[in-house]
Amino acid sequence: MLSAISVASASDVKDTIEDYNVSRPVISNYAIQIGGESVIDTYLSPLHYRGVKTALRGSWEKAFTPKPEKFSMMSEASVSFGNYLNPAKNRRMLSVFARYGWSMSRRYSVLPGLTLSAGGIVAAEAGVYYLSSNSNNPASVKADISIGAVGGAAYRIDLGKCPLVFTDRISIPVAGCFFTPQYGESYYEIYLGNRAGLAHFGWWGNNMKLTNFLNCNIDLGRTALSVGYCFEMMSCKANNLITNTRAHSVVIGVVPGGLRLRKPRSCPQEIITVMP
Amino acid sequence: MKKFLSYISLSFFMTLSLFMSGCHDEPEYVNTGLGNFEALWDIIDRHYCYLDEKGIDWDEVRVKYRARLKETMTAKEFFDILSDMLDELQDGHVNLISDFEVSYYRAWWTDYPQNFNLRTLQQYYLGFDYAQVSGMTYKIIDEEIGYIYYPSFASYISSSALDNIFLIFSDCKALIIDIRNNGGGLLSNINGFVGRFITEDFTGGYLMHKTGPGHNDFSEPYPVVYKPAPRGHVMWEKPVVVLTNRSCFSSANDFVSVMKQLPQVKIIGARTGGGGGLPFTYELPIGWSVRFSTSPMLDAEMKSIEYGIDPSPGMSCDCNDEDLAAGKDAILDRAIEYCKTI
Repeated sequence: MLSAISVASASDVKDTIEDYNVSRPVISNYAIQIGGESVIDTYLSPLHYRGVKTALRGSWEKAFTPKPEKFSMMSEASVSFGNYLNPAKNRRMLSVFARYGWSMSRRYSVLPGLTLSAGGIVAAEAGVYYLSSNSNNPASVKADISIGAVGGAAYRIDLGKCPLVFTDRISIPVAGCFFTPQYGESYYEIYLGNRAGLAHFGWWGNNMKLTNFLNCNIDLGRTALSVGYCFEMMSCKANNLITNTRAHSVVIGVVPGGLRLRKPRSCPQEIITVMP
Repeated sequence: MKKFLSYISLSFFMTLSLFMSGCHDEPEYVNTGLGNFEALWDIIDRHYCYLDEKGIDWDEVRVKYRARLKETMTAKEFFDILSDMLDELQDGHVNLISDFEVSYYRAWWTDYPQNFNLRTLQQYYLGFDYAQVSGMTYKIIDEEIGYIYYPSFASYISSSALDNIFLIFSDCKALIIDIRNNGGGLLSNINGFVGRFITEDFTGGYLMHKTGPGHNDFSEPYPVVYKPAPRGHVMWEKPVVVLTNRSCFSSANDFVSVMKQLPQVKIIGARTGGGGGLPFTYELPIGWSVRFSTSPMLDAEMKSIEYGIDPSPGMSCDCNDEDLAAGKDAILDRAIEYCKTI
């Protein structure tokens, strides 16, 4: 997420003597995400489970040499937990997932205050859906590695002395590799050593994912508050098994160091940020 | 500006089209009487692994039981119709689970003699003087025969417990493992026993699974290899007798299938109850669960073990109920007699 103004701080990176006069600070955003999710995983159940998904997220972004005015890179990580019920509300499913992604983007200033970006991302995700009341199919393990596309926009307005920066970021895997058991294969059989048909080449036709973050960053001085909405979807079909998920969440985060759109008088360096 | 707006619109609609094309069709089940009936029928049709092997016309079953549905039914009446339909599968691994009852097909053992009485064993053969550990009851009987009663494969077999038992039995000439009335449990516990009787890896059977919703969509049989117990554990190289009755089911049935192949093992008693399908669980919109066989297990000759395992040739034996009540267990007597003549 193109989330906040940079701050010239101890986290500045100076690669060369020429870079001494240029600061490319790391923009960190730490957020909590809470929302509702709908899950159907036909390895576990033919029914939709609905419930609450919570996640802890972190992202770290900075301008990227050799052309920091145009390029930026971002690392993002999250851990999420889900708690769902079936339609009859008498069976509970749990989930836990971890995700890491690294992306690089090219920024375009198209209008005053408006920046667009486009680039690529490499991501890995792993987790499990767990339905304890099942017998020999109590868990559906998910794991995938992918390369994909990211795109975004950032737009700044000033409400009096308070800058607001609205950002939107979309990421979509394009190709990768993912794990799924076979249609009626137990994990006992996988444990015995039968690994056939577990790994699949992923593309939009069999493993479609989309994540969209829409955010408003509010400058509070030394700290910035980030409030937003996240939409996540996944649709996977392999080995005659289907997994579809949809999540709508509120995301609230903080940006340590705050939003600073003007260079401090005491700072001798030029600051190159990822903001408009 | 126009170019910028066109770019944004194009990006949005491309993303939307990707989103729409990426959604895969999901099963659609509704929470009505008919909807739950169709869901159950469909789930079994797609996932149950013995429909063709047992010659069940599942389409015909659907017509027969759909005709019994009524506009207004109590939950119990509806449950009985669904469980009667599941009884057509004649499978002890099939259960319909509601919050007031669990259906169970019992005929696989009720139509046969029980051939076991625990009180008779404890009183007349063990004299109420026996040791217990790790789910096993054990004692040396007739001064030269080691006896273990193992009632459930759900009990984890501790390696150190078996080491100690075999050390205690070290002067015995034979071992009796009695698994009568053992209804199964964890397949992983089978190796706990088998590994003590083999000196090299051996394929005890095969496991298959469904690869799709078709009645004959199966994987290639995958060998289930049993390994000798790790070095340092006590092995048993002397004769072994396994006692069985009709209530030996599921993992116990599989254990008998594996042990029967070993040259030093004899199976004495009655044909086991079968249960050769590893069960999965699914659910209906009403909130009831259904458990049933999805992965068929085969013996080392790739024959289905769903219908039970026969005793060793010439070792078939039954117990008379009156004799059992009087303290005489014919199957155990036969095993003791065999061990003494080795």
